[in-house]
Amino acid sequence: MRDTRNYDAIVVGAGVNGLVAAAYLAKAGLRVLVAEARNKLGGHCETAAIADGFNAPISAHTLYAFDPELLEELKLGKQGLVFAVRDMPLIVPDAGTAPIVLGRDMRAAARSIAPYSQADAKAYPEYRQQLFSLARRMRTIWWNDGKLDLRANDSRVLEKLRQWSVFAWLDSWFETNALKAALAFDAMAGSPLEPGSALALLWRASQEMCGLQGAAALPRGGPGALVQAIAAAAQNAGVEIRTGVPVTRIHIQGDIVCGVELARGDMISAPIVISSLPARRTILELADGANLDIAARRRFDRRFGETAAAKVLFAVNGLPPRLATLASGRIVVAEGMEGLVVAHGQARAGDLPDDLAMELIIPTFADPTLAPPGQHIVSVLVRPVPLAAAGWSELKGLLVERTVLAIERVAPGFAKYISAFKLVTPEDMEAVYGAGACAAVSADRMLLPWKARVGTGTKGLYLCGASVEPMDAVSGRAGRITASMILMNRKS
Amino acid sequence: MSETRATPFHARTAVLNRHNRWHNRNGWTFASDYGDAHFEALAARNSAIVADISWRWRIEIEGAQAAELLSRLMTKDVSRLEPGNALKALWLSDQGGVRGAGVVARFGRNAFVLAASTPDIEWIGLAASQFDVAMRDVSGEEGGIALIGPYVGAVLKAAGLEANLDALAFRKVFWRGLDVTVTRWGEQNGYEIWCRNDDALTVWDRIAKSGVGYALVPAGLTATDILDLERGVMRPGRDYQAAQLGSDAHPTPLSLGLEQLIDERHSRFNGRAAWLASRASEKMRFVGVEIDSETPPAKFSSMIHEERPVGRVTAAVFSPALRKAIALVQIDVAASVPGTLLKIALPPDEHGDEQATGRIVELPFLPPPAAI
Amino acid sequence: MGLSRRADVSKCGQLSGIGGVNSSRYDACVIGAGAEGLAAAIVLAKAGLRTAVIERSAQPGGRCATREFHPGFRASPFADELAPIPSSLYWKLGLARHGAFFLPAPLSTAIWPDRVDILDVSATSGASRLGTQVCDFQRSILARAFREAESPAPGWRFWSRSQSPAPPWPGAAWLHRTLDDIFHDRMLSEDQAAHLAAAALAGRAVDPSLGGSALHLLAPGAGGSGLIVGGFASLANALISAAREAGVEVVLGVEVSDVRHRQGRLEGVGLSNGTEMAASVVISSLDFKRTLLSLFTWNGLPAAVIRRAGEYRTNGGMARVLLALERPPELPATLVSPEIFRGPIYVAPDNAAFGAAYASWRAGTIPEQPPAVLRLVSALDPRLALVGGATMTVTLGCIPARLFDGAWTRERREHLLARALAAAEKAVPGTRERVVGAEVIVPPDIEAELGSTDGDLLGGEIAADQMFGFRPWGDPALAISPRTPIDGLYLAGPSSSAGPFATCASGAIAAAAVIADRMAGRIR
Repeated sequence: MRDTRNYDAIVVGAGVNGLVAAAYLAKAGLRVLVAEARNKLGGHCETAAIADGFNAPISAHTLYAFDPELLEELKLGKQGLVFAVRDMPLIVPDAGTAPIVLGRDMRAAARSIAPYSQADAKAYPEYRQQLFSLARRMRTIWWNDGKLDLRANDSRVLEKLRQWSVFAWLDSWFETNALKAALAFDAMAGSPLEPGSALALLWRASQEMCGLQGAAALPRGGPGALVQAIAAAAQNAGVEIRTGVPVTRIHIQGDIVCGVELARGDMISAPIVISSLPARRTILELADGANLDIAARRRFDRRFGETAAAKVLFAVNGLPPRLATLASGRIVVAEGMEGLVVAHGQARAGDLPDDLAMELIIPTFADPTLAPPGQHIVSVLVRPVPLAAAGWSELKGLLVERTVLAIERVAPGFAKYISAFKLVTPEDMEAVYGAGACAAVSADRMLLPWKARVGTGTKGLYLCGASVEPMDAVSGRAGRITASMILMNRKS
Repeated sequence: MSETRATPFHARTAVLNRHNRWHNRNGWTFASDYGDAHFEALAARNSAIVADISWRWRIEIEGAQAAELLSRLMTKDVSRLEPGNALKALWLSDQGGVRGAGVVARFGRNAFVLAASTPDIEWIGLAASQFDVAMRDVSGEEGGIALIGPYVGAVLKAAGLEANLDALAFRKVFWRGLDVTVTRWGEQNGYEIWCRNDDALTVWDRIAKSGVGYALVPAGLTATDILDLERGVMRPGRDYQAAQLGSDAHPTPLSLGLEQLIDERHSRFNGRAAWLASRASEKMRFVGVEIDSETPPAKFSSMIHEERPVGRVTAAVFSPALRKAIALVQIDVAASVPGTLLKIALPPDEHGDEQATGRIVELPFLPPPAAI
Repeated sequence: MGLSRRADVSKCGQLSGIGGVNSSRYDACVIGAGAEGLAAAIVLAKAGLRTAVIERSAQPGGRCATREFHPGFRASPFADELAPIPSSLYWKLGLARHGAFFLPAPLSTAIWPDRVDILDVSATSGASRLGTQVCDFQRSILARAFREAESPAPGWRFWSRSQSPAPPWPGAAWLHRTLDDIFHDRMLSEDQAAHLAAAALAGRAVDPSLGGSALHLLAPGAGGSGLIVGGFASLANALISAAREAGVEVVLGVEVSDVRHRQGRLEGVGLSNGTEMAASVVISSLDFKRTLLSLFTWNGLPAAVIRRAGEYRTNGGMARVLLALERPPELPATLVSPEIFRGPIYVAPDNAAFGAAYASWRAGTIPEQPPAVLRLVSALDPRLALVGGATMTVTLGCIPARLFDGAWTRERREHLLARALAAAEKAVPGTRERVVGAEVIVPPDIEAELGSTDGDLLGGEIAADQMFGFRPWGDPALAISPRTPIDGLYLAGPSSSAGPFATCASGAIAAAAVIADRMAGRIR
């Protein structure tokens, strides 16, 4: 059966980027169809019930890289997007002393570091200042498809960052292991030993939420609320969104894309197909190689050394006192830099790390509507964990157990507050969102122009998922930039 | 890989190798010459030569997607190749750099053999991994001899192996109890006979016996290299540095003068877009230079035109047929017109440094030996 | 500068001539379409001269001929190997482009009943070092000959006696020495010495113990090779093809009957078909004697010239026997390598036997044991024999052009054939029983076919008074070769000073002299 309607463009996947791309194209007058495999929009930005009355962020749980231009241009505020909290400080708890709190107040941050190391307390503002000022300059290439214009000094630092690992870079600044681990964890998912991973620190610092550089924000109603707003904007612009229609194949004739095939066997033709799925899946599974050249295709084929993240969501009927004091921030639990390295090694080898590294947030602290009154949600992002699908059924229990133990060390008594929990394994994410792996930091990818990441070599086929951003994140930029490139190509 | 193996013909070639000069190629050992390489090279034009070419790298590619893989890989459309025929083409990196050149022969609907002078298992293997094919290196399983010269047809006929093949064709033949494959994949308008290792000596003896009346002489690597150079045949690794990475943009086919091995109508070979893009901007050309000297210049010597270095020698040899040194030269487009005079420094000898004059000529320097 | 402008003008004229105007006016006329004549014509035409080549025979090539002497069997009647062509000349003539390729010098073998000597020029030995020295001599000699042709001394005129003696020629140290001396100096073994002597004297009538015999090492050279891929026919074809490409008019089947000149100036040639061809320059590739004695009338030339032509000694001594064999001969038991059949095989060379043969030659009788060289020519070039058969040539030396007791009758040829077979049998047993056809070529045959006086393919005896600057005039002051006392007549054949040393060189030297003299305004 052939779909009779004509579309100018088909977007595969209704994640944030897919919806953004669709909205921009529709605003420019194109007839756009978004085909989503699930019955729900948003992809990784999903708020769903984990227990009666508990609406938790299932995958992504804070926003730190969302594109400020989108808020404005798609008028997301008008569509009901409100931030419950604009910045959540990074908190490094320690069982004995006061935690390190890295918030917006530099002096307070330095004071909190001082008990651990005077030198680090002195270095931190300087470190942050250098990173943040260079990061602002990087926005021309990371926020838009612009040209990099750096002063000689900045170029030198950039060149260093693209060679150095996070481990080495932070070592050159700080001596407090817990501080370094928290900064590393905050910036990236990959191994801290990866050469060039220091660039992730810069990328992280170049982001801005609600006008605050390097912040992490939380929309009221959870990440799902963001999706609602973007979807509404898209639909207002005229985008047609169909859910429950998995795309099974992208059709290419010669080197021109000609449409998609749905699971039911329907063919929808369009001169433009935009995939918000990971590049690898799009190219290798849906587009059958997409005529890619041999070495280029190999880049998509490589999965060596990938790790993943898991989510453990707890519905709790109260907070242990120690946790309550930290509830306003993002609490990073890690066993130092070496701990991260070892954890990565184990995860890569397919084993669950003995010492899990994780980030806890308590979204209900800022947005009480997500849970029944007085009760809370503790959202835990555990990474790295193995991607290996084979052993997950056995690893599940172990993962929850180790997560709870790790939280118990920070906040004794946590376990007895738990009323319900939900575990989201990489396997689940792969199955539900079609993307579960955390890509390692690649300095090459980060400094590549957008054009090279978005285009595919097949005319009319574009990528706009998180995998074409400099680093995987919920930013919506890939959607916006892909759309603007498509519009530019159409003009010429 | 560092191990040097003897070819299945070694028992015969070793006896003939009068000066005991040996040379290693692709891991096998071969006679450099059997007395006088210049004579052997000329015998290919005068009568006939037989050369051990077991060094040629050969892989079998089979599977449902074999034709698709090779069409993707090679610069000519393999899917249109009829079984029993072969074609000669390049394979390029993603960015259009030449990685290799070879002959693809179709043995069946889904069965091919790729033969090349220089192995490139990394690249072909990588490409094969992306398709539903099985690949096998058969270089060590068969021995091969090449017969070159005006009388090779007569020699084969005398041996009872009347092949009568067109250029690039091949045929499997049951030859007085032996299974052999006769091919015409070489550059010199000759024949090649491929046989199982165990049959190699029988094949050699039969050919040697029937060649007596036709002044058939064995020829070593030096002689066949001279013939290749006279023919203007470029070999990766000897005459040019092939693209090392899958993303190398150099050397371009144009800069090597290998564009005739690309079928422009073949729309989806690897590196096509980059190749098309590189054509306009390519600054270098490959040309032949005849040098008024009997001493060949050293590799990488500069070619001077109007007081300015414009190119460098990539391979040079004394051509006994032309009785002068000939060189393959990579040169600026601006100075690449045939007839251009160049100056070139020769290796110093007892008379001190010497300069010779060279002239750019159309390749090949000489056509391959014509059959009689 | 002047030359190039003139060259351009005459090229234009030549181009307009192609349009159909068949003028018989040429800048230069070359007599004989052999290697020398064609080389001369190519060089002249390339310099822009309107050039014609007149050849008596219907086939060009002269001694570069190959013919079928027995059904299915072919051989070159006059030689199996030429003197090499110098590389620079080979390039200049563009012969490779026209398909003439020279094979490297093959192994050379001397076979005695009880022993062999193999000479491999690619290996280092006393003999090969001697070969290198000879090559160097030849190269220098040719270079000097070219230099002299291109620039005669300022103010030089024919007939005027030069005041200062010319510097000695390279190799002049050998002028009066014997071959034996040279080999003795090099401490070669007796076998090697005999082998090399046989190689130098193949097909000649020389006693290696006589003074001046060392010159035979130089002419024609022991270094390099004149073996041609595809046989002599490919050299002739290549030369003709190169000549036609250069714009040379090649006229076959017409003989030059006389050279017309008035007051020492050349006007043209008369042809056997009764027509005349006007030309201001004539290059003769005939030998010295024949050029002067058959193309000019006695009274038309100065007396000194006629006298010299009479004195000039020619020395025909070569006979050739072409054998068609029903199958290739067996390798002699003493030898292992079939490669020896690619090269010459000298039959039991022995200096005493050379002396005896030379004495017979002087006496005008057929020597008992003439020095013999065998070549299984089909082993190198399969074109020359039927499949399964073989072609062998026997080159005999010291065979008189004129026998003391009469002509070369059929019986005497049979007699010579028997001697040749006996020699072949001695070196390669079993040859005789394989013979299915034979042809005997004696010096008068060569004279008849090629026009070389006495069948002497070297154009005159190799002797101290007939070499270098003395060749052919006996006195360098008389005329500097290739020039002659007749303005506009040049000698290009084997009798010119460079003639014996290389193929094509004397033609190119004559052409170079013509071009130089035109540029200097000495001739029109």
